[in-house]
Amino acid sequence: MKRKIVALTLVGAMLMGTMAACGNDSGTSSNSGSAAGSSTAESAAGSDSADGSGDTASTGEKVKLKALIVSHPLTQDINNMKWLQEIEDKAGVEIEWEQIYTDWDTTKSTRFAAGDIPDLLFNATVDSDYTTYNGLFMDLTDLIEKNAPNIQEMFDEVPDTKVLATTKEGKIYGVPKFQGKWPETNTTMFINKTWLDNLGLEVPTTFTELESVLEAFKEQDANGNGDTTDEIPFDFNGWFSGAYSPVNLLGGLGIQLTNWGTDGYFAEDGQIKNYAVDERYKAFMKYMNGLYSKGLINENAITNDYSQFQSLSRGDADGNATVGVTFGWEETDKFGQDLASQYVSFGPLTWDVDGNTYDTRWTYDYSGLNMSSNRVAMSAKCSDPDAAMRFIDQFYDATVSVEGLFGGITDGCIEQTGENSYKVLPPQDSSMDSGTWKWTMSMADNAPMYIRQDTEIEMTQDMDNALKEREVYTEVLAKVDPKKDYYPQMFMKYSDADQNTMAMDQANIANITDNYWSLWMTGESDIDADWDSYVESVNAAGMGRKYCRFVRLLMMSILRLQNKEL
Amino acid sequence: MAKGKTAEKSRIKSTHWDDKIFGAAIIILSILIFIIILYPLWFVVIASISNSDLVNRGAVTFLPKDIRFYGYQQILQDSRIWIGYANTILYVVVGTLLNMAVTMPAAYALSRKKFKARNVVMFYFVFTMFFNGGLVPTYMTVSNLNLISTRAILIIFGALNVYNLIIARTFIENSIPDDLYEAALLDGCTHFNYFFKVVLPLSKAVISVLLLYYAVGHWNDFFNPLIYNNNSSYEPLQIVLRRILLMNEAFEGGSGVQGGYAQSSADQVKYAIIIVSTVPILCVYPFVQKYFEKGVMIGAVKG
Amino acid sequence: MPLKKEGHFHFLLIKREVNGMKKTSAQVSGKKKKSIQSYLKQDWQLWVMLLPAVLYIFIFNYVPMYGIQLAFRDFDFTKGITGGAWAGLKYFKQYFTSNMFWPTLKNTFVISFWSIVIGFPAPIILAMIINQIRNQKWKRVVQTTVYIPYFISVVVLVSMINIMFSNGSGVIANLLKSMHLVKESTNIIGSAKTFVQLYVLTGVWQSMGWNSIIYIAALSSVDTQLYDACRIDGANRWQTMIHIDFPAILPTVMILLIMNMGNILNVGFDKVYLMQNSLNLGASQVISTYVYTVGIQKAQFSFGTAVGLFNTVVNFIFLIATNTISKKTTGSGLM
Repeated sequence: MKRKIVALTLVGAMLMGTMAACGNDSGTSSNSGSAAGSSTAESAAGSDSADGSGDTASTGEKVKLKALIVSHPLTQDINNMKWLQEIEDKAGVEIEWEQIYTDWDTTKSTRFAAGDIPDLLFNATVDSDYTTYNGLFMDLTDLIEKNAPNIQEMFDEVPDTKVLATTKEGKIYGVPKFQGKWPETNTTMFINKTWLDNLGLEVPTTFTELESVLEAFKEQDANGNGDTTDEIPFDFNGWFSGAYSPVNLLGGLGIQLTNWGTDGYFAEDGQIKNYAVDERYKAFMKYMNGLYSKGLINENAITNDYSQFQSLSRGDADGNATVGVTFGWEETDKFGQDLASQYVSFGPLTWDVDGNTYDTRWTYDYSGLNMSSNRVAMSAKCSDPDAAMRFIDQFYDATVSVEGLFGGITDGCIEQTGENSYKVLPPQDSSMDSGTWKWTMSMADNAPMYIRQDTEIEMTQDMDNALKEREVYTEVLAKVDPKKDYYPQMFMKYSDADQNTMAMDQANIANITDNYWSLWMTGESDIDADWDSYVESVNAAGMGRKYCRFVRLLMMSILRLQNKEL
Repeated sequence: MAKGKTAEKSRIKSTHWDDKIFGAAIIILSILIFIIILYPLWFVVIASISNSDLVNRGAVTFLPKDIRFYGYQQILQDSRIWIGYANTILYVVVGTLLNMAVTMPAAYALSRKKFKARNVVMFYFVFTMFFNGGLVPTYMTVSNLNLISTRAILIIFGALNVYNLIIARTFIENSIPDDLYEAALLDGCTHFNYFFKVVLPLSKAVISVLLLYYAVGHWNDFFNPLIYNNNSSYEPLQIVLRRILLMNEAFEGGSGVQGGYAQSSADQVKYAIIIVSTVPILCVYPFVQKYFEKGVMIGAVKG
Repeated sequence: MPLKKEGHFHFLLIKREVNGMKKTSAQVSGKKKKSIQSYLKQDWQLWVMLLPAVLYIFIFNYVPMYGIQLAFRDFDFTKGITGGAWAGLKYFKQYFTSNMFWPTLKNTFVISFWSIVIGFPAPIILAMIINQIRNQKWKRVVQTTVYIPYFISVVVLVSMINIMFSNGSGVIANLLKSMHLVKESTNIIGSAKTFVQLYVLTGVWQSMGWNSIIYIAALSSVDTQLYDACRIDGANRWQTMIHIDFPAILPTVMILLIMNMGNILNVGFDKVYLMQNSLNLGASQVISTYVYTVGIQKAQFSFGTAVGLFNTVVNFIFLIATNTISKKTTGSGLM
């Protein structure tokens, strides 16, 4: 390890370099960018006939296909979904389903490497599979043009989805989804308003205000049960790439995180950086260490798993709230029905700790929440690719898309209230909440779908809450500039060699970064003493290499994203 | 046999005062160990019927709180659990019988000191305890035999465990006198006859040991069905339980997934699963225990 | 995460054949020359009896072994699993020169070392204690209880650890702190300093009973006449335990020790992986978790195979070395 640091310092130095330093070989990628652009135009013709494809198939004998779906553990037997039967009939196929509930990550590499896959794979592949198992999957580009008017419509109306689906070589192996109705950020920060009122405090707007509020929570009996020690001022879960992690606060230091801030990378002024080696992160860690040393942070937050994190916010045995400030998706989900009313979401905090000022941001997850690639892939050995493609396209029909997400009309999960409007019905099983119901009855967010912008969906209470809670972030999120500070990792496509190096580098980098944040926060290690050698060893572990690769890939992605607004 | 011996042991009265201290120390130590082992087990039991929020927060210590049976309900209302039990029992019974049919004759052959290839064959087996080709080539082999997603592979896989083979070999080698074979040979007895008529009846003890080891192995097998079976109607209990476990885990956010509302009972399932999956096999244990200890004793120790 | 049990059954491969062989061959050659011929004639029967086992091992263990060459080749799916270009020692070098090599090797070794130092004698002591219990009912109760933890899945074990050892609310953590066995400020589950202890001791808790079966059995086979003789010589119970019980199980102990040494780099993956957190990463990143994150999760088959092979070879060397030492010093060995 020591030997390596010397050798790789050069590479490390490039981290702070400009794009020009690494960007030389980006020329190769511009081809695929333009390829993606040109093929969009050809397809507009077929987009208006959403139902047309079904007729051609239903006349003949049914085509038998095998399909595999990696389903959520809650999801019922897929053969019981009436809406799915309906589209199978419509597309003239009969699917023999294999439903995988557990440990697909473990079994997948074995089955792929052995070449043992069925005709269609739903929710079962990631981008890297197409390069690792080169030749195992079918290039769908032509099939989509020929048989899939709905998918074409999605590609035309939301070009991002096409960029997302297209590989470096300009092929499409996995069909993406677009569900458009989800909010722009995954993470909401909550504070207990009842506690604030009890103590006569205001909702904090800056980091110092937050600190004094947390101190008050700790020192006083905020929940009014007579015990001043049972309040946990601040709780969180996870760190890098964690949805409910304090790194979301880095927005206050001008760091624009996107899509859960994957591995610490972000874009700023058109450059890619990683906050794990950024001076602002150091300042932030000192702030966190200050909170921790005053006992303001739940000392088990680092080791608690998600279940424990959720449990803690549900109050104690007597129904008293125990947590002051925390992160979550939606209030009833996070705090339970009884305590939800005590909490309010609050806005991004302004950094006022060390005299530096920054342009405040908040994590922007719109593309991550609303689209994802690889909903369906097809085996290269598929017995009838045309029929299979017609079947896939059925999922992208305007009505079927809503059914895929919330459950079928004939299953009694939604009803159509107008030409383009639908209403999500309450769960038939009263013991289930609407989230559980959705995942039980349908493929939910795992489904291939294209929810049109003009489709109106009357959603359930919890989704309404989620959208309302996020209004505090609207203003700040509007600042995101897709050309300058949107880091489009999900749109980046890698070659096999890139992937191999990155897998190794990321494991090596994470081994250092995953360890140090907690040591600094808890004060087990002194950040001032560690920082320089830490940055050096992170760079030596491959951050430099990765950074350069990202810069190249970013340029390529920007080229591809250029003509659109996010 | 063991009982008689210990009874005899205790008949000798302790005369030394230091023996009394020793006896007291043994009692105290054994109680201590008993508590250390038992408390976490007790915890599993009470956690399986308590409100999970309270368990996660450390509020449940000695007695269950806010008792609910959600965990057991979740498990038992899932119709697959019964299919899982039936499949597992099938694999345990047939699989273990196959194990015995493969292991015992081989162990006998390897126990013959006059068998020339013995050391070579032994090395052939021991080598595989260390080196293997990896999951993917093994999967491809199974696949080439058209055994993926068949009941057969779940029974065949692991038909021979080299450790168990060595136990059985050592047992036969050491506990069945060679003279017996010499005598049988003079009567014109073949290896087959000798094995069936003399060795097997004399090996009841080691057979019961292997039965238990193999049966527990099949019972707990999770990985092989996961990899080699894709047919849900062939799923053994462990796979079904795994799914029920995942089904009740809190939804981890990340993709804007909603849910986790039923949290306060969810983690019960985790603990209830332990009870549902281990109690049946624990019930078998005392029946085998008697033979079991004897078997290990003769098979292994007198080497 | 597989729930698979990682219980290692270590059994005896005692071979004191040198003596045994001599005796039998002397007997046979002296008395019954005919039987030698019969033996030879009947060898085919032994082969028949071996056949299922040999065949099974051949098909399911030896046939797939071609996969080992993946450690020396690039994985190229289009050319078949082992059809990729010859890479020589590339993947070994990649591991040896990675900044993860020494930390993972060291952590693996440290965990193994303490697992053997603490985990190996524990079942022996337990067996001796159980053997000394006079009250038969109590003995049976203790004996049965200590086996049960073996059946708890790793997933549940780790969540039990997280609940019982957590700061503030953990029952056991609080108990240890009130007894001053652990410093008040220590976060037991979140510290590189306590990780190894926690891993090893919870492992002892889980498998001590199961592993003690073999020693209990060995002890129950001790000839009672030896005890009586010892008594007559005026020895107390402690002395009989040391002078009779312990020597009785010593051969077993030696063989199991050798088997354990042959697993020196096999730190079970599941438990370490599940117990990992940011604070203990400095002690908890081991070879198997590293292979998992890079080799399995990121589908770097060649790299994973190479590291796995390295692991196996180290184990094999340890096994051979311990075996040789044991043979020279105590006379008993595996092969």
